[in-house]
Amino acid sequence: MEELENFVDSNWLNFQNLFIERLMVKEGKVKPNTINNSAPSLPNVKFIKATENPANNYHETLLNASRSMIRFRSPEHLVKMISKLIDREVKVLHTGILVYQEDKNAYVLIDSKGESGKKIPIGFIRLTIDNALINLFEEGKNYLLSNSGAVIYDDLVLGLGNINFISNNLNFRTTLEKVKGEMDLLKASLAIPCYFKRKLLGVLILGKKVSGERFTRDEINLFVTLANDVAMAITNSQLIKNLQKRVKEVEESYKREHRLFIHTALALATAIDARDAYTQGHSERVTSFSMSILDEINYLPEVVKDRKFRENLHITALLHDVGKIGIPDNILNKRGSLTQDERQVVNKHPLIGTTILYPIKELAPTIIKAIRNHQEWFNGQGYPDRLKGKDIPILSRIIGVADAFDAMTSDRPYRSKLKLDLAMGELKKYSGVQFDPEVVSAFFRAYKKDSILLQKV
Amino acid sequence: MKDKKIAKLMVVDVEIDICNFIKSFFEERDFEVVYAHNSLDALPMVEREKPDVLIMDIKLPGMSGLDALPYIKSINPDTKVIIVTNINDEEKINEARSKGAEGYITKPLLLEELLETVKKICFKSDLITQGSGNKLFSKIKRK
Repeated sequence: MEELENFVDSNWLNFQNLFIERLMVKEGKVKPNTINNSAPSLPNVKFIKATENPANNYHETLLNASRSMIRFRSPEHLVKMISKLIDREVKVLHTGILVYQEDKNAYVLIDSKGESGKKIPIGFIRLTIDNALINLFEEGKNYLLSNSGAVIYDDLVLGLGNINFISNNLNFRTTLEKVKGEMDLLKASLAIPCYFKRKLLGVLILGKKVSGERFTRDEINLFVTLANDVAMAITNSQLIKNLQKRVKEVEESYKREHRLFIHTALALATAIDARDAYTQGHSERVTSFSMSILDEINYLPEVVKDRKFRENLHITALLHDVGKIGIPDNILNKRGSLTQDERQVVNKHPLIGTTILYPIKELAPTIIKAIRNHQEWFNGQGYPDRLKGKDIPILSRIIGVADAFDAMTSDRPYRSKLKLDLAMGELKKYSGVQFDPEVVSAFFRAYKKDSILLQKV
Repeated sequence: MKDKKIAKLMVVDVEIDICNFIKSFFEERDFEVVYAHNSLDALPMVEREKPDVLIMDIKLPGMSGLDALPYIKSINPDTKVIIVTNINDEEKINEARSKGAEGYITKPLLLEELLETVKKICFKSDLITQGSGNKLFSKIKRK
C-alpha cells in the first residue's frame, strides 16, 4: 500500500485531501462536480460501433464511464459497469474481471458476464501469483507479444505453431505454453492486464466473440483503456479505504484515551470522596448538578464559542475537590465546627488541587484555573484570589452553585442536612453575594424541571 | 455416447451458475456431468446415476453437504466426494475427512487444482480404496 501511495500524483493528493475533509465532517460521499482535474486522461480511442447506432460511439461511453468513476467509492461498482459495458457493446461469450486481493494473495474473479455455463461464476476461481499468465503480466513480457500488452489466444497458438518463432528461447516458449494452458482453462480469447503505474492489480478476461470474428485493434485498445480504468478505480478505492481506516484509527485512539482519562478522573474523584466519609458521591453529584445548570445556560457566549465547554465542565466538576487529598483526616472528618486555623487549612484545597493537576499537560489550563477558583465569591469575598463577578471563570461559577447546594443537602460533619427549601432559600439569599445570579436562576429553572437529581436527599 | 465419457461427475450446489459452469468445464474434458441443487434431490440421484465423483458444497438448503455425506457413502460407497466450499475451517475439514470425503477445496479455487483432484480421484481410485485416500486428502492444497 505504501508503494501505491508513493505513486500518487498531485491530482490524487488533492482528491485525497478533499476526501479527508469530507470524512472528517462525516459526509462520506464525494460529489463528482467538486473535482475538476481528477478525471483520468484517456487515450484517443477512435471506435465505430458496428451495431445499429454508430453515433453513440464507445469513446463517449468510455469518457462518461471514466468521469463517473470518481463517484464510486468501491471499485466493484466500476468493475460491474465495465463488464456490463463490454457485454453490451461487444458480443462475447463471456467476460470476467480478476482483482488482486491482499488477504488471499491471489487474483479473485470479482465479476463476470455471459450465459450461465459460459461465464465463470463470481467468486468461484482465483489465480495465484505463480500462475503463468499472472507471471507474464507481472514481468511485462506480454509486451513482447503485442504493443498493447493484451494477450491474444489465437496469436499465441499461431506463434507456438511457428517453428521459427522464438525457437532460440526455449524458456519463453515453455512460458507461453503454460500461458496457453491457463487461457484454455479460462476459455479466454483475450487476457488484458490492469496496471496502475506498472503494478498488476487485475486481469480482464474475454471469451470468444459470439460472431466468431477476431477482435479488432480498436476493440483491443478499448479493452486496454477499460482495464486501466479498473486499475485506477481499485487504486482509488484502496487509497480511500486506507484513509478511512486511518481516520477511524485516530478517532478510536482518541476515544480510547478520552475514556481512559474520564475514568481516571472518576476514580480520582471517588478516591477523594471516599476519604471524606460524609461526602460520599459528592463529586459525582456536583458533576450531575453542574451539567443540569449548563443545559439552562447553554446560550451564554462563553459556552457557545467553546466546543469543549461541556467536556471541560464535566472534568472540572469531577476533580474540583482533588486538593482535599492534602487535607489531614482529623480536620476533614472533624465533628463540630472548625477552628480558625483548621478553616485555613481546608481553604487551601483549591490551591493544592491546582498543584496536583498542574503536571498533567493534557489538562486544559481553563480546567486547572477553574478548580483554583471554585471557592471564589461573586462579591469578591471568596478565596484564594478574591476574584469578583465575571472575573471568576464561568466553570467555577457553575460549580460554586452545584457544590454549595450539595454541601447543604448532604450530611456534613459540621452541619446536619438542611431541608431542601432551606437550601434553595440560601442560594437565593446569597445570589449576587456568593453566587452568580444568572447561574442561580439557571439552577432554579433546572430544579423546577426536575432535572436536578437528588440521589441522597 | 456414454462409452466415450471417461467418468461420471455429479455436482451439488445451490447456485445454478456454478452447476452449469462445472458441467460445461468437465463436459469439454469428456466427463459426463449431472447436477442437483440440494441434498434431498441429490440422494436419489446418487442412487440412480452412481457418479464416480461428487462435487458438493457444504451450505445447501435443508440438509447440509456434510450431513448428507454419510448417506451418500452408504447409498453408493464407490462415489468419491470432493467438498467445494468457501468455508475454510479446520473443524469442517476434519469433519469432512472423518465422514469419508476424499477431498476438500476452498473457494475461490484454482481451476487446475479442481481438474487435477477430480482426475486423480478417478484414475487412481484403486489407490484410494487401498487406504491412501487420506494421503490424497492431505495433499490437496487449501488456500
